[in-house]
Amino acid sequence: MAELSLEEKCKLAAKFVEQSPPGEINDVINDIRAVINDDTALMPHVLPTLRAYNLTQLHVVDHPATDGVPAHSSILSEATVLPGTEGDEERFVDAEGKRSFEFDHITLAITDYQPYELPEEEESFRAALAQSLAKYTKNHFPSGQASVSSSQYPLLPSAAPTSEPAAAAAAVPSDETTSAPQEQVEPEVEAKESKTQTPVTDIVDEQVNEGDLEPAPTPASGDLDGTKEKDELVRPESLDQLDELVEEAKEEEEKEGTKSETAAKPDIGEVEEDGKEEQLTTPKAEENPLPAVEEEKEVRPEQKQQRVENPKYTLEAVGNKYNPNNFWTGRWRTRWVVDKAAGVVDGKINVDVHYYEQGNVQLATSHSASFPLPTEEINGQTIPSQIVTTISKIETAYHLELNDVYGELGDKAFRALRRALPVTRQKMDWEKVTGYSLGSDLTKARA
Amino acid sequence: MADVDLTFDSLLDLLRRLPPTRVEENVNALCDLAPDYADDLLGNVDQPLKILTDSEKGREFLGCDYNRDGDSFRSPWSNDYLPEATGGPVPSARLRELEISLNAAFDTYREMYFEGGTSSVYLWDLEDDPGQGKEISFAGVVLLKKVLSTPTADQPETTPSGSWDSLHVFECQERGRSAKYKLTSTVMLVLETRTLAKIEGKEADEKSAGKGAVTLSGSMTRQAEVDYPLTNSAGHIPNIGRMVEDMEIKMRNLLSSVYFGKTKDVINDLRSQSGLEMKSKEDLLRAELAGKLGARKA
Repeated sequence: MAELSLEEKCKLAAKFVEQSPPGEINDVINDIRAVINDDTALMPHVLPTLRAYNLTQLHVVDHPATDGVPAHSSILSEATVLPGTEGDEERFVDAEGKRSFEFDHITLAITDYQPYELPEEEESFRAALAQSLAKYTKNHFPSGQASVSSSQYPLLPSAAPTSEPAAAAAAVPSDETTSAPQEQVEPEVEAKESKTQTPVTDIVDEQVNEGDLEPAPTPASGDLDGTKEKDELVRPESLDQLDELVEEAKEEEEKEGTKSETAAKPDIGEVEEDGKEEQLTTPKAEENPLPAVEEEKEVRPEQKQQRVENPKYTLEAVGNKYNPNNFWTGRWRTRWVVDKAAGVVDGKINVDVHYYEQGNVQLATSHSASFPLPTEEINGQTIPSQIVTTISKIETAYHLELNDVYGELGDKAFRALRRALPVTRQKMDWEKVTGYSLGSDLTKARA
Repeated sequence: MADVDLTFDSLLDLLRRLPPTRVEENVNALCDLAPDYADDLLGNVDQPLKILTDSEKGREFLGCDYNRDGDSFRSPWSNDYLPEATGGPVPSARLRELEISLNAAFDTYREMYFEGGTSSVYLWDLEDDPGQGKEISFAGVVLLKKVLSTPTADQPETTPSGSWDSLHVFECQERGRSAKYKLTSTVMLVLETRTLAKIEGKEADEKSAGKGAVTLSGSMTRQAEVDYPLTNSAGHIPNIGRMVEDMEIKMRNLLSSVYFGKTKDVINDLRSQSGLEMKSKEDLLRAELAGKLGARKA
């Protein structure tokens, strides 16, 4: 068998990233770096799989206190991608801090905060959900982080007043690239069309789970097999919310921002390590984009404020515990999508635990559930509050069921595989083993 | 050379972290990434045992790296490589005799502890010229496997399934009237079931649903060294038997505590079932009660 080329090896190695247990992403990446021994060739392939991993695993980003916004955290996920941004331009929404930012998945550097503001109607519903979810998370997850995102488009910056025609005219010629917002619609439309036949029920699965199978689009990875699929898979989630007639225009909005609430500090071992290791390589020079962004702002007034008819709201929470000194790590992830048009709330819960002292034992669970969307206040309890209460009930029922599963597996399945002692309740008498009828005879006798 | 060792350490470290359910696929990928280490990897990483059939003897046997030659595996029942005779290595006549007896003994052991499943024992000579000296040294592996099949249609959806694979690799050195055994044991255990949790009562409607899967999988490895008296060649049977039996009992307890204790504790560390507020209230109440009880006893 011919040996693989370096390029092929890098692609193959990068796929291990998606299999990383909770909190061990740096260990896995360092292992594959040691095996490939060529970071320049490897890292461009790691970037897309690492991005997919971070989004699927609800990576927690810590925001330092800046610009009058106190220190807090937010979550990376498909739902927190700023609508209409992708590839190199991809931005994530920090709903609590009311801004969006760029994120470098390799260095974990946050750059270029920009304001983010939802229309009042969506923001008030989103904020109410976020408040309830934060309360639930704080009560049930000792180190939890929660986030609620709306797929509604953010308001356009109110900046440029009436003088914009001139400004826009000035900007456009020099600025073919920033007029791209409109062009971007096209690829998305294709993606949407190819997906329209997909049943609505797929949405949750995609959002929660399959993300880790697809590498994300990045220039470096353009030739990766999964790249295209990723685009298509990500977008469909927004498709069903769209009125068919308006869908094109709205497509972009779909991937609206998310929010992160809660100040609870997650275990951030992994973040810190990375930060220290890689910080040197991430100069803050990324500020350069600023001028371009300014121009874009001036151009934007040309765009019409876009709206989604029935925006979806995505509630996400993640609880991490990493204890490498005692050889275990764990993560509980949960994602619920409120679909007002369908009148339903769909959710998915994933629990992953790794124990690796003189071995490698992993628990992996995945559970989907759905319930009807509450339609009115009951006894003064608001709809957002009812939604989170029901989520809390389902997650607790699931938690109880998991505890029962342990009994079932431990008492029944484990014993059925191998007894603790033979029926005689005594160990084998090996001195007399030739005196026993042999196993094959016993088997025949039983049959 | 240090560089070489680092690479191999990294390969092993990866396999210690990646999901045990995907070990076969991952070992293959790592062999492609680092072809120079392919043999070391295959020899050092335990993979699920293959269930094979010796149709001539009408019995199943187990395949692993120790009885493999190319794509064929030696059957302990016929001593032939199957499905294709490869002319691969076979134990010396003296060792083959012991191998036959050990297979019979572990067949009994398998029936008593596993009440089903498959067992195989393979031995190989460690000397260049086996059978000449009085004291011999040899190595072997005891394999045991049992599979609980996935639930059939008439069983409840949540009926668990799973598999147990154990490999006990040992080396034996005869020394006068005793023998020294070095043992490395690995058990691979997979358990799976389904979950159904959903909302009941007034928040529910006919579309409310809950469905999921739970997989607990992995492997653990332990080592041991023992010296047992040895009066004649047949004495290896109770010696090896006892050593493997003791180790499996120990490992079954270990697996039980890690699979059903440790990982469950981590879940309850990740999420508090009753809620942290409730928990702190309960803790207070408990402390208060304990205080009162203590006062009464005093």
